[in-house]
Amino acid sequence: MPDQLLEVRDLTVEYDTGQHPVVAVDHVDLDVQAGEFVGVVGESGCGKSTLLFAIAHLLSSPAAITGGSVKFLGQNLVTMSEKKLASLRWRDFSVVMQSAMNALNPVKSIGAQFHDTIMAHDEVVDDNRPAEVLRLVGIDPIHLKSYPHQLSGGMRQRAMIAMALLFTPDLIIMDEPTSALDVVAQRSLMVQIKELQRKLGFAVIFVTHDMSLVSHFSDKLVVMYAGQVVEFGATRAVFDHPEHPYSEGLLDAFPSIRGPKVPLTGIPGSPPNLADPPPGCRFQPRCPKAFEDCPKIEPDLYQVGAVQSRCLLHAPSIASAREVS
Amino acid sequence: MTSMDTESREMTESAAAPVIEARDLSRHFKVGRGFSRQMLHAVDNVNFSIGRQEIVALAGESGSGKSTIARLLAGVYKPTGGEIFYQGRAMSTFRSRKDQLSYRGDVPMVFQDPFSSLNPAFRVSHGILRSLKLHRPEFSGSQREDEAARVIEAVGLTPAGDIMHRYPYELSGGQRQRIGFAQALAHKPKLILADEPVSMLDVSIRIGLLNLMAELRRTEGVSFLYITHDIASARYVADRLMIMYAGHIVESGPAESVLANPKHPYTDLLLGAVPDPRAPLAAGIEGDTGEPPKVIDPTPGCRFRWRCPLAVDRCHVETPVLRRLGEDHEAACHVAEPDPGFAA
Repeated sequence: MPDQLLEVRDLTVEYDTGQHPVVAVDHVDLDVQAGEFVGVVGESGCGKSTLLFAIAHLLSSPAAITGGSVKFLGQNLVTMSEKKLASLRWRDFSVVMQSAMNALNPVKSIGAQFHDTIMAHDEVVDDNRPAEVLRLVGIDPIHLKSYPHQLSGGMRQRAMIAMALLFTPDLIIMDEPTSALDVVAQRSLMVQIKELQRKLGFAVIFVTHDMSLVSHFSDKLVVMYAGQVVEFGATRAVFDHPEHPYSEGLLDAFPSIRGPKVPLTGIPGSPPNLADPPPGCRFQPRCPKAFEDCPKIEPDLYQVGAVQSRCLLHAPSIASAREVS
Repeated sequence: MTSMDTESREMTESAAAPVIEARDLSRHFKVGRGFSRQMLHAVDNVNFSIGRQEIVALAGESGSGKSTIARLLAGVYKPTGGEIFYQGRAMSTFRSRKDQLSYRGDVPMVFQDPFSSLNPAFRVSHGILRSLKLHRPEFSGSQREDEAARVIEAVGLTPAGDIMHRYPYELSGGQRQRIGFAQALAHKPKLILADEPVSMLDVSIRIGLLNLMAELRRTEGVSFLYITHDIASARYVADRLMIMYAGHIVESGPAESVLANPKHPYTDLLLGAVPDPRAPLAAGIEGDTGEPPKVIDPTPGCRFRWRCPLAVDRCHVETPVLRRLGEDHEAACHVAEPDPGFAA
């Protein structure tokens, strides 16, 4: 198996709204190695969920992939037929949705839903597999007979993850799986995901709006703003030295529970309307470090030390950036 | 930073005369019917008070009874036992419509979900003007408009004249939640019950609303009961912190000393679970799956004992009550030690 599990290149997703197409994901590149934990963070409406849906090829009209490629284990998912995709889904990569608590069918027992999944994929699996995956996520297998309402929120969330593990996929895509949980449950679920990953070796793409949540768990971090990747790098490097003013702002938006109590400002303003993004850098209207070139030149992703940052301050020279535009 | 400190000092001085006080407050709910009728103890024998211009945070997991307390204070539920005193008067004596109306005007609530708490069919000024008409009948129509514009500006939405004529769908989540605060302010309130006001908002916007609460306390002189499950935000904005678990307040004290020196093992657990990118990963709660108990027909004993690493025999037979363990710092735990040098 090649180490490069997923290779996303220039992926662009547009929502067709009639007059102006809304570019929700704008030329995004993303690499995921086998067994890696990649966090994707950003505000709501920044395109992070759309990106996941595009990777899993789950977009429905009016959203459509209008450019780029998603190579998974060397095959391009964008051009793949629905039939072939169906055989890959769940077996090679699975998706855990946001509010997975509501993703379970309320009138079927957990076991029956696991059985459905197995039947739908014509997989030959051990009869004990459902019990085995439930045990993996720390739920007693007697709950195969339980209905979703008999489980707590945290257990339902775990059951969804167990279902995603049925065929031991190489990649699990998670869209805010912990957002409906309490801090203690959230923390224990994160620890468990990390442990399962270590044990079973799957890769995770984890989308969240809560940057602090992934700080201790992800290997790499992608910060998205208004459909673009604005910062990318090793998680620790991004947290220790954020190079984009937006990531800095996001980091400064959390009050700390330890250390000195300092007044925080958050990020002023609100995210731009993607149907009519501001000229130049998209963060420029809210940016505390903006200068006169920012509304004129669209920045690229520049390599700054160990991370990549889409900020003109890091352009090799403003002049050369001007030539490019 | 320094302004924050002087502020909190002023707070402790004025905390002497409480705006609201709860004594032995309980609320139970019936569950099941027929032979399986049981009682769910959502809130049990809770005592606390909120001083003038004080921000008190009430933190705990979902199902711990935080929102039930807010609803008891708002008068949505009647207490099963105990009493709420508002400016020294027992709430159960508010019988006339005038008394009830003025209480509701003085103690409004801000709701969790800014997307469903505003009527989508009306302009955002609608709710503010309606409550002005109801609670401040001395105003004429144009005075109401002026007052609505003033409160909208007070919550940081400018230009108020433009914003107030918009529909909720034209505003972002953060702006809508500010309208929620403006609605509460229109009554000239003494205490605002804020039930998870920021948990539905983006992280980058939350801090703005927390700052707004601190500012409103200064400029409008209101107190807040800030209900949250996010302890870091409670520390940021609140003077005092109460931790709730399974219907009981298990720890209460000045926010800083509760966090720096937690007495109750549950507070410890909660603190360990907060993700903090600035600190190394705290270890030690891996075995805890975070399931708060349902408190149905409880037997005596500490309700945290099944999850507690420190539980002793006594915890299974006797329900701990809040004990003073430090300056203004109380915890309901048999095992917790008082501060060194502090005589209870």
